[in-house]
Amino acid sequence: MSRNILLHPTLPSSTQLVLRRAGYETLDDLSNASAEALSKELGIDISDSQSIITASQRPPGPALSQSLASLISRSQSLACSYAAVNTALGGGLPRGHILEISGPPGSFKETLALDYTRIFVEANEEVIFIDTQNMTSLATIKKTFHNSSAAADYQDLVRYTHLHTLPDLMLFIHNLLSEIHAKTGLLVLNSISFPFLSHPDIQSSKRTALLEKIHQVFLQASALNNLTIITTSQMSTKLLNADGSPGNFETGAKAVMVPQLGSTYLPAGRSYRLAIVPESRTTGQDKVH
Amino acid sequence: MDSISLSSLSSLTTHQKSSLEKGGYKNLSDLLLSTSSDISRTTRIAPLEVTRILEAACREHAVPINKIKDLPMEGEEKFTTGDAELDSTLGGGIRTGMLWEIVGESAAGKTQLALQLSLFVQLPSRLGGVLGSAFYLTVASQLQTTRMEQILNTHPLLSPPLCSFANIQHASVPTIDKLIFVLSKSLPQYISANNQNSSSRPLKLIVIDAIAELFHTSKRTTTQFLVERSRRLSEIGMLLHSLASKHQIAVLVLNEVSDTIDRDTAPLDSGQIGYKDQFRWFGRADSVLGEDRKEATLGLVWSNQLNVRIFLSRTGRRRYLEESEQSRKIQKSVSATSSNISAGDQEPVLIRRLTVVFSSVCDHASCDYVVTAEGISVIPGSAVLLTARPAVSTATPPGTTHDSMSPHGDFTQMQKAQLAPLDIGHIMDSTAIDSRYSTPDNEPGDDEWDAFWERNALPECVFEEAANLTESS
Repeated sequence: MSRNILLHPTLPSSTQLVLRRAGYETLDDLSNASAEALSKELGIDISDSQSIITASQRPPGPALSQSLASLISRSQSLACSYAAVNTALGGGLPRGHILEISGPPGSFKETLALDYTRIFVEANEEVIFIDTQNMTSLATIKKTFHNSSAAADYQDLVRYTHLHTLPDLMLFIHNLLSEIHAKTGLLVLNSISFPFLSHPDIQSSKRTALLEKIHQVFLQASALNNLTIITTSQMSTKLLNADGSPGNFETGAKAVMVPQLGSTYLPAGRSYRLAIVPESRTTGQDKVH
Repeated sequence: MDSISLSSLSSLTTHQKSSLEKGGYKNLSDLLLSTSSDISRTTRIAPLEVTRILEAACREHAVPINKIKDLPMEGEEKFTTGDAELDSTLGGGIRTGMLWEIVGESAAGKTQLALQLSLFVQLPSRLGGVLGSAFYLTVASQLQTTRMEQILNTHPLLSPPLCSFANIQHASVPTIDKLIFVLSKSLPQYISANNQNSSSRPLKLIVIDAIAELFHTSKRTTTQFLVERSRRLSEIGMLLHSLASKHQIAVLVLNEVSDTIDRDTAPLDSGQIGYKDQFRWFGRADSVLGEDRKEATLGLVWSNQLNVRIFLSRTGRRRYLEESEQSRKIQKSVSATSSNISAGDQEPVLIRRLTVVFSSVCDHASCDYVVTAEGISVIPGSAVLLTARPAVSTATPPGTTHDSMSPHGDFTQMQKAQLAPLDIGHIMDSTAIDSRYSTPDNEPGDDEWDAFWERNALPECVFEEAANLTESS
């Protein structure tokens, strides 16, 4: 059985990555580590580092001890209040992943983002909440926590600001990695598409470059800091021919709606795109791609 | 971002500042919107140093993101519409810090409601107001001061010392450029001067009457023109949201409707979200028969900007109001306006419908109202909740066809996809068009296009797309 950390089945992949980056290649490297030293080095809680050491010393097997369970709980999938959304995500949203929620005006994108916010706060983790088009005010957040177990704590755990323009968004992105710390579990960008409308004349090559910068920062934050990121996005119109190629009116193309920013900013392999599609006033579908 | 000049940054060396200036970068936003390689190329600074400059500049001007406990509450401030049932339908009244739209046919009551709100915002909080002032921007119409005076003198909650025209500023914004100028320069200056004057009221309501008048498009329009218009509309939306959140102002925008034309559209593949399909949920109201004959103009582009859409319809219904349904005020005005009424007689009153199509602060709901001398009055007990919490299901697996579209035969006979003009200007692939920043309000005189249009006359509601729109990625 390999002693290589990366192949260890009981350590979650995010933990493995953190250990690798800190220079721990094999389980033997861990055998001399103390929980305190490890927790300092990796910037994690003592209980978590103790769990890592226990996990590394245990022969891999199906049964999980209690100390491991606490470590696993920090890495599990997060289930929201909407069963259909959880199903669409294959059970729940995994930590350290990115979820884009798009939909037409009136779809419950913002409500869903708030639902996840509540879940993280109830797990005693910090949330950074960015509002760009006045959809989620402090009053709305207060209402969300009205009946929650964390009604007393959310004001301390949620950090909030408005930003509206593209330069403001890029400033935030450049500073994101210095804004987050071990206790930050979730970033909500509500909506991420709006700031791109403040500079509509920007060349598409520049726009793509900015989206790539966001991609890079998101990848770092999610992979190395285990940050879960949720963005909401408005939609744009796209004309498609029957074969799916971009079309125009002459070919009788149909008009469909797609998320405004495209997929450039979403790191492959750790992102989900959820589209909320109202079918009537009260029901709808979720589509994940 | 307010202008942050690079020369003011303490984290940069003098040499770096002069190189950046030579490269044409004046403000921090110039740097933030460029790529590292572009900056390196134009300033001849090594790429690694450019990255360090960027990070240092960003750290120097990092915006603190405070915990909610350290922030003043926002989003709870609201003022009454003058009608308790309407307030309740809207989630307590008109909240500040948001963008509201009132859309409907002419004579449905849009301007009435806007005038009414310009008065009610002024009331003290014990009467449901926020002791604020209003700024009323008109595009093509005049400010209806006579009607406003009538409302002021008739509505029981309003009275001259509490509300006056002195607290309503008016400006005319007949062009898009003028509106953008007012929103980006004049209003911020006005607000700042107001804040420094301790005896003046805070601005709490901005009305734009009516945004659609700025965007009337004619038959012969190029895609380039529509792209330009669409971008200006997005810019206006951004300015409105900035004003709304920075100063906690309620922004109220009036919009027009056009006739709903239901055309057969191409069948969708599973997984595709049809524009036409979706537009009926956010662009129209359908709580009563006939309400969906009209739909909001300015398309998805504008709908995306809104926090609340309120749809006013005439619907042509008339009802005899029961004694119990008439509040004192409706009785008073009905008898005041009809001359031949005897004690037991009643004329049917023209009933209008108000529907909240979507909202970030209240439920999707509808109610009936009438327009009286006092303004808009909701008929008591007529409010109907149209949906509470949405019921959601997962998408059908790929391979099955989309339910609501029936297949059609020949593609060549298909009606052209019907989009709102400004959504043509915002089509995904057309972001590849780099348009000039300022465009005159008249159509650009492109000879080639004029000749083309002359050869190919279009029916009223069909727009041709420019050739060679290629996907960049």
